[in-house]
Amino acid sequence: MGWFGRERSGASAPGVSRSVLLVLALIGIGLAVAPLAFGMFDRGPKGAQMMQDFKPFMTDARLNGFQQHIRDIDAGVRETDGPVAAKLAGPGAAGHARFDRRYPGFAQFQHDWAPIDADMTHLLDTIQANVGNYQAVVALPSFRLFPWFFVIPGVLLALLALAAALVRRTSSSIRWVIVALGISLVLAPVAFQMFQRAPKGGRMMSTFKPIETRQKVETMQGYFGTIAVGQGALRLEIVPALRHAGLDDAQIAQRFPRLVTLDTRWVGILNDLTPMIGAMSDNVDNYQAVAGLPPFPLFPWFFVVPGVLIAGLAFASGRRGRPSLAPATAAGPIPT
Amino acid sequence: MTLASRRTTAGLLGLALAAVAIALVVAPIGAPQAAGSKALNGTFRLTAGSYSAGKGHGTYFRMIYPGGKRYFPNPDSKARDKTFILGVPGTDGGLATGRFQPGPSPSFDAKGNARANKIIKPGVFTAIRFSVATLKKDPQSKKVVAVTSARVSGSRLTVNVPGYTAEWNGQYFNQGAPKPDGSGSPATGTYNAKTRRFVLTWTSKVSGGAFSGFTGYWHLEGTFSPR
Repeated sequence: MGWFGRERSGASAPGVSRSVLLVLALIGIGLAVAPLAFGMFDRGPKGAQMMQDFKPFMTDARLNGFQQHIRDIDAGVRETDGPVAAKLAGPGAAGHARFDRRYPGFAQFQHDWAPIDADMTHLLDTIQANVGNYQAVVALPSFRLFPWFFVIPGVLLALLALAAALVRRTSSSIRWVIVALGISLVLAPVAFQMFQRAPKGGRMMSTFKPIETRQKVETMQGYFGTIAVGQGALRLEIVPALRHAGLDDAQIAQRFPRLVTLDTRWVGILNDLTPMIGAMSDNVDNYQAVAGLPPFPLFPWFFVVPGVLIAGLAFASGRRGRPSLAPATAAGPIPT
Repeated sequence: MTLASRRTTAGLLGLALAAVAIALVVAPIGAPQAAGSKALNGTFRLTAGSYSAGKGHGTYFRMIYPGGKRYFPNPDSKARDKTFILGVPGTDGGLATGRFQPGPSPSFDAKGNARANKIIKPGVFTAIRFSVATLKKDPQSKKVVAVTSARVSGSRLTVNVPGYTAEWNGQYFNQGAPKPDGSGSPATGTYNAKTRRFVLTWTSKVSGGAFSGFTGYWHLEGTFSPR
């Protein structure tokens, strides 16, 4: 006969078991309610959406492609500002000044490009440095499931405690079920490698904090406009001017390969970069929702601490109750 | 009841009757406006966009940056001011009421160029063709929207066009008025019943995607062709 049976038998039940029951029920309720308190049912799906939207971009291959785009733009700008300018407007400072006057759209772009290049390269480096952290979070169970990892054991524990309190004669197996539940909670973070993955998720969230803001997205949108205008000047004014200066397309490609590379790759660059800006923009609110959750590195402990408490209380109370367990059972004293 | 209170009661009663009488007289003044409002069924045939003397004419749109302080320049615009993106009427001649005007399937070619060509011909926007369509189901919000409808009251034109969608680079940007969720206002403008000339304008904020937060300003002009 079990320890809970002793509790319900009443006559010889010491207060400790009733208290333990109450504590276990409270822990269960606490676990079940925690996701509501943390807004997990709202934030979890948003986090899952964010991870899903980032997925196409969070690979080294894709990010290397973005880095290549930036290098292509940079090389095209430098070549246009150097040998192309000299070809079209003459050498030296005077020639360059003429070039700037003739092609003000490109001149403005060239002027703006250095800080854009630095910022975007830094952004891509930052994202790329977090590919591993992102993969670690993806390997965890979906954010959508997270609240249920608290609710299900919490409700189960509360129901078991309630059942134990209501049922007059219960098997000690209830106690062991509760011990097993506690151990499961302790083991869950180990099974999901949360101790390694959650801190990585925390680092990813910290790193993305200055990136996933409306202000940063608008900055990126502004960069896009600046680059588009500059590339437009290059494509619609400078390349035609080179043709007008007597060069055919093969000669232009031979003499100014970086300019031509940028020109021919531009649509591909747009195809690639705009969805990334879109994903950044679409997930500002989702990021903020996830950032509103408790820090990631604490998550394993949200399982371990209640798990240890539950298993420990159930186990220890049973051990404490064992000597006086038999007389308290409804079946009466065990004959000696 | 004292004399004073009887007088007060009578006075209040008189005021109430006067208010009712005024309401009965005034109400019909507004009523003809509603009664005079009639539906326009047909196609708002567009005049091609142009730019001169520092102004846009005909059909064009502009993209306003978040914050509303500047316009996005399209280097491929034919206008001198590159922030004016000029439209050319498509195979339907313009914007039709009572039906949707989707593009072909797929909506984009391999390079992300939009293929819709009923309302306007695809135009180039930063090296990639964009276009517009009216779609029954908004690809962004997944909401089913009402079909385009128009009413005119005197010279005031009101057009509900919640399914108006810009398409570019493989992406959809709802530019409805009102938006698919019912927020925002319908497109408004002027209509000359004799000449059937119209001018229709609206703004619509982009929600989602690379241009999220931008606002599209649409200016459609032309001649209405009844069905």
